[in-house]
Amino acid sequence: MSSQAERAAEFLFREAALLDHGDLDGWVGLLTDDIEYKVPVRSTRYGRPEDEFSRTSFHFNEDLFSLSKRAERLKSAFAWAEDPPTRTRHFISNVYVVDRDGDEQIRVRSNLMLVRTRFDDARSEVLTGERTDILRGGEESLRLARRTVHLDQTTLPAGSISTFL
Amino acid sequence: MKTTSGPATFTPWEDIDRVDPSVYTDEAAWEDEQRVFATGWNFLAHESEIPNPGDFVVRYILRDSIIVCRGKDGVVRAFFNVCRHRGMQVCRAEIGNTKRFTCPYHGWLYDTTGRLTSLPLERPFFAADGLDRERYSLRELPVMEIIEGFVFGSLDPGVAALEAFLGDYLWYLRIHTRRDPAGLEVIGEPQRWLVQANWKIGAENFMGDSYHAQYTHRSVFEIGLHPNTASDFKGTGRRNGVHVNAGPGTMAFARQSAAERGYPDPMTTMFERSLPAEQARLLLHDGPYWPTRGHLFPNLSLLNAGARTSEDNLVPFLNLRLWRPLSAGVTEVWSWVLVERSASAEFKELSARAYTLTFGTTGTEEQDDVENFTSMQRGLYGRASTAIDQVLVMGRGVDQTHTAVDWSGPGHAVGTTYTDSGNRYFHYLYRQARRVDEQPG
Repeated sequence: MSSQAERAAEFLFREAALLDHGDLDGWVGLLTDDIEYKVPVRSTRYGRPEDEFSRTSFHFNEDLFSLSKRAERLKSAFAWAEDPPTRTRHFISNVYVVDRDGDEQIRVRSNLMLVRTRFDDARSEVLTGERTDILRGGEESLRLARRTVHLDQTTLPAGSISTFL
Repeated sequence: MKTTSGPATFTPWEDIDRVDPSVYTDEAAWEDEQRVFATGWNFLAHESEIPNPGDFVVRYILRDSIIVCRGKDGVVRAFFNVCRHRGMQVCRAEIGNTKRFTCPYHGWLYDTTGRLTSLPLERPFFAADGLDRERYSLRELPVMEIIEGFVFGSLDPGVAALEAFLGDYLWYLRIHTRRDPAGLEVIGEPQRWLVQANWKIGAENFMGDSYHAQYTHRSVFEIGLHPNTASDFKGTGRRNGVHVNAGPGTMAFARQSAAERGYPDPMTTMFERSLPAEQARLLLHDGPYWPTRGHLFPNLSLLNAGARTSEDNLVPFLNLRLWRPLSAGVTEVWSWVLVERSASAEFKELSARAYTLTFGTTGTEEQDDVENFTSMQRGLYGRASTAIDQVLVMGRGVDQTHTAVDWSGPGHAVGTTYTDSGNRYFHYLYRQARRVDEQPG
């Protein structure tokens, strides 16, 4: 693994820990002001996998305003879907650097497995997909500038997603 | 035009003030309901999903897989997704554009009008001079009708005409479909997700429950995403609008203008010009009123809501959703964003964002709705819990909430949305459809 990939993986693992520990302020702090965060709707189609992702229909199509509002909501005493909190586990693997733009910006691809467990239910819900991220910043402080998640599921098994992918 | 005014007319559903909770879990109820879906009208698609020859989507009535396809001749048809040879599914995608449907098993090919165009080894192994292929076209759904751009189908050739089924509800549907002379269109593909709850629980939330918003969705008001504020939920608040039971459906209205709901000036001007005269008079001159939630029995909901997509921008959206039952306890939700076809590209994009932020698979309001639906269902699986009847008593014995108001639209209008009248009406229609007369409690 290149040192850049190691650095990217370290960032993604720390980011996953913030999400799984419910530190959403910390997570929002990792985002650039111009963050674009997209999870397009997938539909089964004949042909190439990349054609399955919608250009206009999304599970998430977010900017810093909407991501911050989503995070802020979950701190409310009235955010029932996360009180009691869902246990989430973000597994990030297969991290590699796709390309780089100088020292300041790298495009990173990884696999995501999100396992959600709620209440005393012994079964968990699983979402899987591929992330393509653009991480920006120097040696000290990488931040997330772009994220696209290509999910494997066209029909989501979960009632409603109240965490971030 | 029927006008209801003065004292409340007798409405038989107002006596339905209890629900036997076993309707959400009981296998016998589910058996009855499958007959209801099999003999009634089911929403399949919006015409704008398949604008071009060869465009298709695969949809369902219960477990029947149905291809809705615009043929090479431009005509929309609905076929069972079943090869006429051995029953293999001839379409295994959810959406696309094609010249033919191919059965992978033996290679029977059907064109986009459903005609069997070729099959391997036809001569001489099926018949010396060729098979009578017309006989083996894809089987069409017994009935399919398109009304206001909405494609509906039925498994029952004896079903009443769609317009007769919709009855007075068509007048309300047209508030949405006729606000733009060019009509409505979908924004992209539908979201699909599973909810571990009976289909009626979500359906009823749209049919008649404005009451939940102020508490279930309080977090969304707190962060300022929602156009309404807590004060709108006081007895005199303007959100405290009018609830209407009409034909096989309901629609709720806030005492707000289209502009107050976030529609930009050119669109409100368009609405005024485009809406049929009766609807325009009610919404723009009797009112202001603007629709919020609506539901067409059994399982199609409409929601005209909105959200802030930035600190200073309130953007409305129109959501259409289908509660497809998979079993008594599991529902697959299909959810589309509809938009006025003449709206600007920027409005369309923001409208879809406002939807995504509040409703659908990740919506900040939907998250808490789903919490309610699934938690209700978990409780109802208890043998004894299911014997504890639910009550639909909001608005019974309170003059304001069950008295008809002056209302120039058809149906029965109630002078507030804070009433269970819509869900009393749901269970009235439900009992009629199941042909049962439950006496719970």
